[in-house]
Amino acid sequence: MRAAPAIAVLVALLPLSLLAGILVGSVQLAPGDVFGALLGGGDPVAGVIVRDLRLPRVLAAALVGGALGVAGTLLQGLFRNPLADPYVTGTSAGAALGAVGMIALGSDLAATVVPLAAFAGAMVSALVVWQLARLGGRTTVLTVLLAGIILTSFASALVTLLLFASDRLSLRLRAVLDVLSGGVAVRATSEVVLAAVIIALGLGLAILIGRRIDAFVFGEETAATLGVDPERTTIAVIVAAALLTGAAVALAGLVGFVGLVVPHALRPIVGATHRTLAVASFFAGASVLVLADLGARSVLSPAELPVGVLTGLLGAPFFLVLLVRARRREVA
Amino acid sequence: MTTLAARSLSAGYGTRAVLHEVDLTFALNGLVALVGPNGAGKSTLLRAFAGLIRPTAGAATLDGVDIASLSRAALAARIAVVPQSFDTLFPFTVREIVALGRSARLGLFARPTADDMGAVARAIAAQDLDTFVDRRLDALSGGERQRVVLAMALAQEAGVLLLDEPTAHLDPAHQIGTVRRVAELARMRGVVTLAVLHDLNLAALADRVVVVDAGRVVADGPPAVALASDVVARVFGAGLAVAQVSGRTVILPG
Repeated sequence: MRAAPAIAVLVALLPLSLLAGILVGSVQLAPGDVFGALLGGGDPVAGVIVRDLRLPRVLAAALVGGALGVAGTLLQGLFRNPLADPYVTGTSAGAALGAVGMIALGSDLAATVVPLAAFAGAMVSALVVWQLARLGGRTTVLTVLLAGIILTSFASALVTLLLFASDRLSLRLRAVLDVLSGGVAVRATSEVVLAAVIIALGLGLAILIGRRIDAFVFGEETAATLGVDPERTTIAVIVAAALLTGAAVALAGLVGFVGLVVPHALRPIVGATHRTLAVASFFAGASVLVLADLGARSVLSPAELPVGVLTGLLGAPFFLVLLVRARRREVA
Repeated sequence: MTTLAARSLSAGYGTRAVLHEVDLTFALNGLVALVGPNGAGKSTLLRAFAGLIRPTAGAATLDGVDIASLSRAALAARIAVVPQSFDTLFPFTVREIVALGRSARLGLFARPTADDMGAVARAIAAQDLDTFVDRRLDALSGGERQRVVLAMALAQEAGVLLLDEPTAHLDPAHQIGTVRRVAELARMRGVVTLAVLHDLNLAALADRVVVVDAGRVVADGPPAVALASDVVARVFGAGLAVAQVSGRTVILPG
């Protein structure tokens, strides 16, 4: 079992990443003050910064990164291809449309409604991409990516339409910009808790159906003759991916490529079985996004970049390299 | 004892009828080869037995029970299928792939039992894959891959084994090796075994040959009978000649 030690390392890395995320920020705090604040005492200003600003932010980043890692694992299994994730398949865009739509309706008061709408949006777009990608009986990575582009363009056109049509929305431009640029800045604790619950559900479902996805990636007919119902597996994968993507987008907006890169980088280390890969991707994705957010807060300090900008800057070239390699092997 | 049968089975895709009222019974009689020209309906027949398509009339039955009425999991425990193509872009190891043969027996919350692990180990040993268990599928040759897929099907420990052109991507030596392996399994293990084969000379290695043409069974019997020269000429055209060489049926260019 080479996977077990690797997962143990990833689990151990997460608290270290969280700690790094809490220690570093635009206001310089001594480590002693930070630890004091974490334990509930110490300097009151440091307490506010650490407990009310940094802690929710790093927890949100960890949840979002973990959710995207697992959603990427699921979607890569669904499309039988390592070049898929919530972002490039348009699932995130659908979730963002759902979230912005809810903000336009003025329901930012009820924080529970935004994740639900994001889930619904993610669900619809994942189903559409799945149907589009299956046209002609077999999924190829290019159809998946094209379907993702079409959905993303359509969803962003609708978001723009909402922006212009809704007076309410123009008063909430900042909230909309947050969704579109992918940041984990200041979050209410209740939002973080709600997202944690949804993400735990999604991760649990992913672990349960992991073995079915293993059979599923060898083709629907092969899965069927192995005793795995392809339709039910498809639906379960899409629901789980939509839960995770919806929660991630509701919390942080559009954060690209984490879901793509994390499972891809882990496969050579922990292997291809989806149950193991989902667990490993959760912990690795969480650490990656906490550290990426740390970077996003530091590069233009004291100005803070949304973490989505950083993952886009780093992830897009990585994705290009993968795509070129895949085309060279003529698998795309 | 397992009996697989087609009862006045008709099947097709959409409005295109492929099989017309086929009646066949398979019990333990070694390796059965299904042959016929392209589009004759042999793969369709196999798919009906695998429960992958529903007959438009009649039924495919397993011990008298309509296959279309069985759940996927119940079917997978009793009928194993070696698909025509089997590949992935993900780095699954040989052991992980063979273990997929147990998918049907594992509930969502279940862990593999000693039974499951035993079946996987036996299948790996039966296909001489012990030294390959941690290798990735894409690091194997065509013949080795075919053994992995066969081991996956064997791990299902089903009473029926269906193979859809198991020799399609192999060189001649491995084609013969694969058919011999499967024939030996069919004879030794008491597994009802049906293989769709394109190459008539490979089919001639089977114990029973069923010739399908235009959706109907036109010959059925030992190779010397089912592949008699008049049958071959009628079904496959005049370009082939049948000879008997040291007690074996051989098909040659005519």
